Amino acid sequence: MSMLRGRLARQPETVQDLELAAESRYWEGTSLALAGESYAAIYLMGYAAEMWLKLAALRLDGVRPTDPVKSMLPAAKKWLQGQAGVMIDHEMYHSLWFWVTFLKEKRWWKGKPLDAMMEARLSQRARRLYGTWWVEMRYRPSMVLEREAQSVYDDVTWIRDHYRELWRL
Amino acid sequence: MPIKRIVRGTITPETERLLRELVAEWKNPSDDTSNPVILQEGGGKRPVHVYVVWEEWAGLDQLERSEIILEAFEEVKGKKAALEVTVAMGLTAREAERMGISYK
Repeated sequence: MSMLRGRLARQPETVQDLELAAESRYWEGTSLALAGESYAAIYLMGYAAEMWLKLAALRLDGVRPTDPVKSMLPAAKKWLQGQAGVMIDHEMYHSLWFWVTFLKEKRWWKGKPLDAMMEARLSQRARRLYGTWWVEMRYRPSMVLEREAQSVYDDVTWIRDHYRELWRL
Repeated sequence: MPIKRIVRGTITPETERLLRELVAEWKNPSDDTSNPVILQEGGGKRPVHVYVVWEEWAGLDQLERSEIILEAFEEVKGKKAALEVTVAMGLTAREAERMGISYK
């Protein structure tokens, strides 16, 4: 059997890979939070949120579990800029705010917006999460307040709990 | 250069046989553990994840396995229900064990 990198790289990452990875990173992050490793916990849980938001956005266009993810990302950027006229830094497609904006705009464009309360809660959670988690944090020393780890856990858990509602039309 | 439609997966006599067997098992579940074991989680407010544990997957890659499962699911449960499936994974018993998937 080849080594891990070889096994992972054999096939392009698919929609269902991301969904399973999101669930794994969420629980790994939770375990780290319980062990007091707040910075690493935030890092992993933020990734889980990114994947759920990205998946919800892509699923609005009816992608299948076996569809490769990477090739769809530039089209999402192009749509948000060209069709919706929104310019947001996608941060190499890791930006939580980019995906939340895409999700909301795409639902409006399809004539199926989230209900007002749901949209407000999503924006509130995502805004706070965006203010805490950053993909580049991996290159920085651990500087975190305990309440930040708690709020990340709360926000990511909310996104996990409402994931299906975000993409169901 | 001509522009053509992409056909998902390649249908071979072997994949067709696996599809037919999976559909038959789904419609009439048996107690025979050599048959595919179909595991489903989620539903309701959660997305649907389907795992099929089957030694017959051994010669196929993950994408081919998933396509067969999705096809079978749609055939048995209908197109609308199939849209709820966000994970469709085919695993051999050993792979399932490695993923921590256990069942009775």
